[in-house]
Amino acid sequence: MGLCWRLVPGQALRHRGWDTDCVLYNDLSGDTHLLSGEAMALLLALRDGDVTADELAAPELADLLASLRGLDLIEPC
Amino acid sequence: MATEQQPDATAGQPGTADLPPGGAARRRFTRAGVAASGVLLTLHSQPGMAVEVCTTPSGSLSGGLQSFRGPPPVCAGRSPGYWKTHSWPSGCNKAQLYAKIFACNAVTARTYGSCTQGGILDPQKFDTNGIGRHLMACYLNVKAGLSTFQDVPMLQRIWNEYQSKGFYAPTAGVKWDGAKIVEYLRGTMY
Repeated sequence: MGLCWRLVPGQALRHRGWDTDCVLYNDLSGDTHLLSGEAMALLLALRDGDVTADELAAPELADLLASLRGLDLIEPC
Repeated sequence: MATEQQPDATAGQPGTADLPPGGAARRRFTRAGVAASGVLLTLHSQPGMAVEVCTTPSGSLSGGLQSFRGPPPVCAGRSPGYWKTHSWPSGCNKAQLYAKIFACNAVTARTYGSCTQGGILDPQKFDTNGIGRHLMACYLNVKAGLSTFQDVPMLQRIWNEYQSKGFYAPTAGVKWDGAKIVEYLRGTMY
């Protein structure tokens, strides 16, 4: 069973997308992040409940999840 | 060219953003490709930031995500009103004609062309949208070292193109009318 992750409350995920990348406004820090499409898709999936804890436990996601956590975009639940 | 995925958090869940179909962010999340990508860049907010735009006209189209080499830009432009009541940078002269900096053609010779640099800072009937007023303030900001991301030739290009065509193209395929030009110029000021 993998660790559960969720969006940090208050993050509205206001973003704009290009063909591959997105810019995302961080409601908590006021920063703007340039994210890959995959990272943005992960955030949206977390918001919408479209990704399971087991999927999130994949080793290849560890660095990305840590990065997003470091930006106060997601948190363990 | 950016495509707006969602304008504001207005639809769908309160406080969240719904996206129209299509676009990179809308695709189903998969683990494929994640390992090689993620957070590519962060543009930190500046506490107490008052100047909204700190980049060139073309740079402003990229959402301010512009890389700077060397010292960071100075983004402390002052408004036309400020320059009406404060001393001007060395070498600038309120009594000289606006046209000495921003060349005027036959159409603008009797209006902008006959106005002084100090006079253009006051709202003028002929100064539609306040372009002359704000260009003059930007010029003073450049001379005072308050807007290091702009330079005089850049401001002159804006004026010359607007004067001759009625718009300014900050990049290919984009046309700024007078209101949009002033919006950009005003964004570079407190």
